[in-house]
Amino acid sequence: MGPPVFAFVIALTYLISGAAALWIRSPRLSRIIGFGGGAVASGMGLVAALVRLLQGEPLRIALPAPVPWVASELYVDGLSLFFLAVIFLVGFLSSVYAIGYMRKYDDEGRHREKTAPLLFNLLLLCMAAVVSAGDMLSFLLGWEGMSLTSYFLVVFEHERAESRRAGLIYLIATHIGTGGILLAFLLLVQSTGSFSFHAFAHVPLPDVGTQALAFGFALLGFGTKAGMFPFHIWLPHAHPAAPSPVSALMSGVMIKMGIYGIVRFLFYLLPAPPLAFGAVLAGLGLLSGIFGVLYAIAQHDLKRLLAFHSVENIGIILIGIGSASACEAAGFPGPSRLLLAGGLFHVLNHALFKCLLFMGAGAVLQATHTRNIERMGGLMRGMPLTGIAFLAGSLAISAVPPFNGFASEFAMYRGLWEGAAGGGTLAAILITAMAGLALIGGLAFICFVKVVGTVFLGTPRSAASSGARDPGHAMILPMAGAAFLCAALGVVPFLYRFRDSGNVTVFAALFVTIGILASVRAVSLRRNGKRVYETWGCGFSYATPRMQYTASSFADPILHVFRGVLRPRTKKEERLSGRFLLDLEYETHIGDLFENGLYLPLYRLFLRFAFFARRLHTGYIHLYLGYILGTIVLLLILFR
Amino acid sequence: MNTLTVLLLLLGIHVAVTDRIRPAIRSLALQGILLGFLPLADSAGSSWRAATLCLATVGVKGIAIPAILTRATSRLGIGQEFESLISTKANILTTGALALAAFLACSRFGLSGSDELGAAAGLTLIFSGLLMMTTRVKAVSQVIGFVVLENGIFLFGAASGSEFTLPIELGIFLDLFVAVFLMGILMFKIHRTFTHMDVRKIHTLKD
Repeated sequence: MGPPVFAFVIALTYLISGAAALWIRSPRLSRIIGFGGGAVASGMGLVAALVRLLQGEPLRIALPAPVPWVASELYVDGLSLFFLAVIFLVGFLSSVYAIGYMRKYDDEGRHREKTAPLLFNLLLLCMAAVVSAGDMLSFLLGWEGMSLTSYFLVVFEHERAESRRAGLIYLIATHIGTGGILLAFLLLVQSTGSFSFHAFAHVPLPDVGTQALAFGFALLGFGTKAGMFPFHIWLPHAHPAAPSPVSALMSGVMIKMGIYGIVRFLFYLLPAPPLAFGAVLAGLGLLSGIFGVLYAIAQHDLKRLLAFHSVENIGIILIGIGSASACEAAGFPGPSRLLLAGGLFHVLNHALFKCLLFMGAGAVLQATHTRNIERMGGLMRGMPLTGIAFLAGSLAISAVPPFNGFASEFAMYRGLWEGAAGGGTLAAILITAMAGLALIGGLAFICFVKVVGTVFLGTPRSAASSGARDPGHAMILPMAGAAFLCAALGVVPFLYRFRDSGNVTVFAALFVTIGILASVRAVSLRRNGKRVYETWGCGFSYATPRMQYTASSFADPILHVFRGVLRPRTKKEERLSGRFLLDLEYETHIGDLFENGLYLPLYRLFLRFAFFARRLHTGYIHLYLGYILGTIVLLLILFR
Repeated sequence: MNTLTVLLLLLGIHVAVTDRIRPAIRSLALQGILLGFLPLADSAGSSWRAATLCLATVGVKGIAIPAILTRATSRLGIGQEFESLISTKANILTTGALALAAFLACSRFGLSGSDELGAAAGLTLIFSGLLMMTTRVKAVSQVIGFVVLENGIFLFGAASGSEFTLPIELGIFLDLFVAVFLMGILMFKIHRTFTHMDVRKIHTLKD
């Protein structure tokens, strides 16, 4: 069975299982067949992509042309295969998870849950098409398919106004993005005369101005999809609105399609991008990272918080890719390769741990029926498996060894350090990037201390939280698998590194030492036994769960430091009776600076223009015909 | 060939500037019949094709469509006046300006001789048809304008030498016939619902 046939079989498995789910009467069977088929197809795709990745040479499959005179083909090279592997891996995990999670829609009796597998599988298929496309037309077809299917998944709970609003914002953002990509592509077509991605590589673009323009449009387009600052505003709306497996898929891989586009554009399509391109990209990455994590710290909604962390991690990836391009342009291929590898490795890592975290958030959501972390607490007791998996994901995203987030960021630090040795402008850029990366890492750690501390530790803050239990196997197993992979991918690269330098014994000794220390500690803890007693109640007569340290109070010092850029609005109401405090209400709210400061004014401006333009729309047929006549006469006279 | 084109053009201008409906329909019918002879005069194509096209054109544009329009005007009691939004003088001037624009535009197409005249005449007919649809008030005059527009497209196509196969040409005729037929039915419906044929008042339907 050749690769084209195998690709066809995978695509068919997605489609047939998704379509079959529509027709099956039993909701349970529909779920199992639909998402199960998606998982099988993703599994096959993962194996195929990994096998192919080891073989190396690119694969071309000619397609029947969708439009005459434009040749269409699939072109799967190493970069495509890597992204394919990421898509299929996360696709597999979240499909299995969805079998368990989507059960909550079964009892509604509305049958809409039966559309979910089809949309889910189509989304996976479209993403696979995007990264395997060999020409711009197939790329855009896949891209639009991906945007539309994900839109329908975002508005899956369309009875909620919040979901519809999120869907609308997402739809507008994604179409502006597609517009940017289209313009970038057309600029390249104008210069090279070809729609194929691989003709570009051999025809140099004429001038830097065109390149810069095309790159700007590409950044707008791909950056919007990736959630890059300042085009990120759809992301914190769309991710919380979607069902959790969809959030996992969207945040895990769909936004990486933007990264794929940027890498394809910067490293394959542009002949020799100047240093400034990489610097701009790294700068935007830095802003995404810092603002993403700062806004994340300020959130109370678990999924919205995770969405802002996606912005942050996209920033980290962009720092890697941008500095790689800058190093390449400055003539340092070694650090460039290290940085690019670090950035791409972080794509895989972020896909894994963000998928894991969203799956964990989904389990928490299902158990507590709230997304507000101030109403959770003490979940580690009721749902230990979810808690441990979520903890692993949190450590990974905070770049703590031995998890995978550390491994990729370590590669980036190495690359930045080695590149900075060259001195000059490049060194200034790279050192800034390094400092930013360190700041982002520290803030992310703070944020996840807050999340894990408030959600899983302490005592339950609501009745639902105290009754929370671990979900079923279908949801636990993918989380466990992702957690295992997070740990494995954090260790394996260093094993390779130490094997190459002959220090594997040192590494093994390190692990054995850590193991011994840990077991000694465990034994000593057990010997001392447990003591159960009341926490000191600060002078209050009895302790209640409401006396716990809250997420807001934990975040407050950080927000205070950054109040200049975050501009928190706090509301404090006290009711006093004499000198005694009866009641105190405290509320902080942080609006997105760009959403309120840039996009809302733009939107209002657009609205005013639209109301003005509406005057042209009078309802008089004669006037409309007159418009047509005028346009035709003008066109015939002005152009030929 | 040139005579035919000039005649077509003159008839088109007559339709465009007259302010009575019956003569306009008669000119339209004559225009349709003359258009039918255009493929015969152009001897390049095969005789069978030319004959079929001639028959179809004369049948649809020379007889069927004028008949429908005449019947509609008399049955609906529409009256003789065209009722234009602009005065007859302004109408004549605008038609002249549009003819000038058409000839200017055609001079840049790189055609030559009778072709250029035919293309320019066709374009003039297209413009004047659109102008009729834009300025005239009654629904029946918009149908007349539409047919003039269609005739212009036919003339332009014949002059610019783009020959379609017979089935496609016949298909276009069928489309035109069905379009006019439907417009006729719609006029009856509009008349019954609103008790007038004034297209100006349709904007009250806007939300």
